[in-house]
Amino acid sequence: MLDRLSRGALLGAVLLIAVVVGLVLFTALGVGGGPADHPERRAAVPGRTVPHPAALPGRAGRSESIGSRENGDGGDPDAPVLNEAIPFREADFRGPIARYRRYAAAEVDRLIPEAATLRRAVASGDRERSRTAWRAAFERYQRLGAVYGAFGEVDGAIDGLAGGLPHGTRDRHFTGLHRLELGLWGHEPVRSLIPVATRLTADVRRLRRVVPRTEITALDFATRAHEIVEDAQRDFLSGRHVPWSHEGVLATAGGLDATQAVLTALHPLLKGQQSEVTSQAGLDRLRGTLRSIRAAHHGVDPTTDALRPSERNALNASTSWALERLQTLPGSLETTDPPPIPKLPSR
Amino acid sequence: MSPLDRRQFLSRSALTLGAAGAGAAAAAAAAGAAGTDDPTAAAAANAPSDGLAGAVPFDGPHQAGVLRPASAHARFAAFDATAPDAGALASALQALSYRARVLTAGGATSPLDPDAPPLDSGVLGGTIAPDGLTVTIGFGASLFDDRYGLAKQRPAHLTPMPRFAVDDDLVADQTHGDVLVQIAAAHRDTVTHAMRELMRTVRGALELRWTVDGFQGASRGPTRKSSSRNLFGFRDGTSNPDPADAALMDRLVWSKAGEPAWAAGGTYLVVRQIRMQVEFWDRVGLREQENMIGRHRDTGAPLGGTDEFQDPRLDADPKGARIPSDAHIRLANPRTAATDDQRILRRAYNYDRGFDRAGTLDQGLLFVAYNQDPARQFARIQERLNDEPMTDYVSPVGGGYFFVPPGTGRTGERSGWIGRTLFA
Ligand code: HEM
Repeated sequence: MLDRLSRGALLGAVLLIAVVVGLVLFTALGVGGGPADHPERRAAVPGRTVPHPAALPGRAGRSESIGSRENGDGGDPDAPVLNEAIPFREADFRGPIARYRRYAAAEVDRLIPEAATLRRAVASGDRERSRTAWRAAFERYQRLGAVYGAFGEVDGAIDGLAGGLPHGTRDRHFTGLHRLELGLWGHEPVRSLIPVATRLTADVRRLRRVVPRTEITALDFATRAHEIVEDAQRDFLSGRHVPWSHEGVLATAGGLDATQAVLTALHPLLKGQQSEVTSQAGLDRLRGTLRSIRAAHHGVDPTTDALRPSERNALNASTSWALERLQTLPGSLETTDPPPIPKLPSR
Repeated sequence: MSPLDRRQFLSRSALTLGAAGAGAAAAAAAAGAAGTDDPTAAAAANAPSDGLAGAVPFDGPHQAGVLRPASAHARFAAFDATAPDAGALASALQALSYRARVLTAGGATSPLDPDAPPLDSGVLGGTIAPDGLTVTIGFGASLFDDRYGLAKQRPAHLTPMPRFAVDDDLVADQTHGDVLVQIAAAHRDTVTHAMRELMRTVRGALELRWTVDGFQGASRGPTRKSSSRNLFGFRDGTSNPDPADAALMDRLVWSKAGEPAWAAGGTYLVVRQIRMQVEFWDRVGLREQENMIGRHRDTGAPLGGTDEFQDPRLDADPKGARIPSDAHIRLANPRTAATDDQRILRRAYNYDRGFDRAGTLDQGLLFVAYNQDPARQFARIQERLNDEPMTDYVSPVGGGYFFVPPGTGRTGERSGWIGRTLFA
């Protein structure tokens, strides 16, 4: 095993070559997946571009020792070998993305009958039965990990909130799971929701056709790993996006499953490097926390209101711990180095 | 009370010389104490109204607290009107202005009748330092319904703040309101005190609907002009129309022809409480952060530049090779002839108020802007920003549109009150 210093130097050299090769490839293949005007600056996922090199655990060797970057993460010199293949080529992501797509398609295949069950429950007028069916469908949908509108308009139809609609929750475009949530946990007559539940079954079938065609770029995929859990923390554990059912624990469990699917699919690229190992540890801890909470509540995920203070703490802690680890993934998976920013012309 | 000069302001010895009146001495003592822990106090003291001693007149053709740069501390308080009739509402508004005028001027509080509850809470002592206090009063669209017979007087461009994007998480009890009071001052206790004293004047007539406290980052250079930072770590307030340009303010800020007569010389205030997901933001690479804003985090310069106040030269970068086409500053102000009259006067504050149930910090931006017509200006900008990359890290949770009526008239006016022309 090389010592830290020389490993850093070696890494630097590998990097330099990789950057050059990457740039050449980039120009040749148009890697990056953004709009044509400045593909290197724009990600296909809104809000994401190529991560900053400093976020890379293995690549900080340029300015800092690897150990110092990994401070607190067990910056162990005998840690799994750094991946020398970065920056990756877009093509390297084909396998992982295909694998994830198969996972998502299989989940939708399960969602279709679950949506039908929900519709039947609603038609029966039985509120408890409908809520149980809703929970199953809602968790299933979160397992898809459809962050940042990856599924486009159909995502809005299934999982959209009333936020920006001109008439809010009374808007006729407010439909899907959250419309049903409002009806089932509010005081609406259950049967009045039949049209919404029927429409959901159709939208879910539409989703089944969309999933295999969804455009997922390398960047899209690399960033998804931490953003699903970011969303769970922001939207579900805070309670914001489950305002009526308070099923934030269930939804977080779904997001965790989606994240695991992404991380597993990425294994051929990550090959046991530090970011993968620590991310997996983060997910494992979160899974353990969710499991023990569920066990303490007789095998059913409690609502966020029903969490005991110690459970709430444990869940918040595991989630934020997982996030601090997952943030290293996009950097480990980058496809190109950010080009220098052009100079601002002087007058 | 006369404003103190800088030497008195910073020097305790001035007190022993007895050069200042009792009120000014008290102010100077407190300012001196503040000065010792604030290396920029000397610079701040040069700005006449940024220290304890500086007074900003309540009266004038326009209300105070609009054109002034944002103070160090502010409170925005929105109220629902509960007055039984228009007369009671008008009396409360009158009392509100009178008290605001006294507080902004500072000075000794009334002598005490030992048997009666004190007229002032005493939180700032017996002699109140003006501290650059401004109190700015606004009215929401809901005030102009049929309760008080004001429907016909509604300002031409006043509507409830619309919902904009799917990400809007507007919470009903943090949004809208009949009356809004903006209290701003150089020190936090001045704001807290003013809020408490002003509340005494409106009991029975106005009930609190929501409040939010904002603060500005300290002036940390490199120059005195450098903007302080918002909680994403970026300098905020760099690009703003120049408030000293009266013609520009007439074009962008003050209400224009077409308003009911009482509303001439007013302006429209847009307040948005925008939660920022700071933990999430901190897990994003610097380059990506800078691309989202369109400026360098350290210097505040437009991408590719070196100086905060450099022109971003969007015209020289039509494809977004330097400043991405979806960068915040490009969408917010494309700097074209067509968008020129959409510009707004921004006076944002940071807020920091605990944490949410997920254990993440409840921090954000208290977006504040003044403009002549929110539909023509603010809303157009907001619509362009609806899909910007930054939306994943922020969510609007409250706020509203308010019409800020004209000022009371001449400086030195003693009987005017905000809203008088409306009830006349
Ligand atoms: C949390 C939300 C927001 C953050 C963190 C933010 C941050 C910033 C920053 C860092 C700048 C560059 C410095 C400056 O010129 O002040 C800026 C500029 C600007 N922002 Fe925002 N902003 C936010 C929300 C908004 C909203 C809601 C609007 C209006 C709808 C807006 C309108 C503008 C405008 C007009 C500029 C100046 C652009 C120019 O003239 O170059 N911002 N903002």
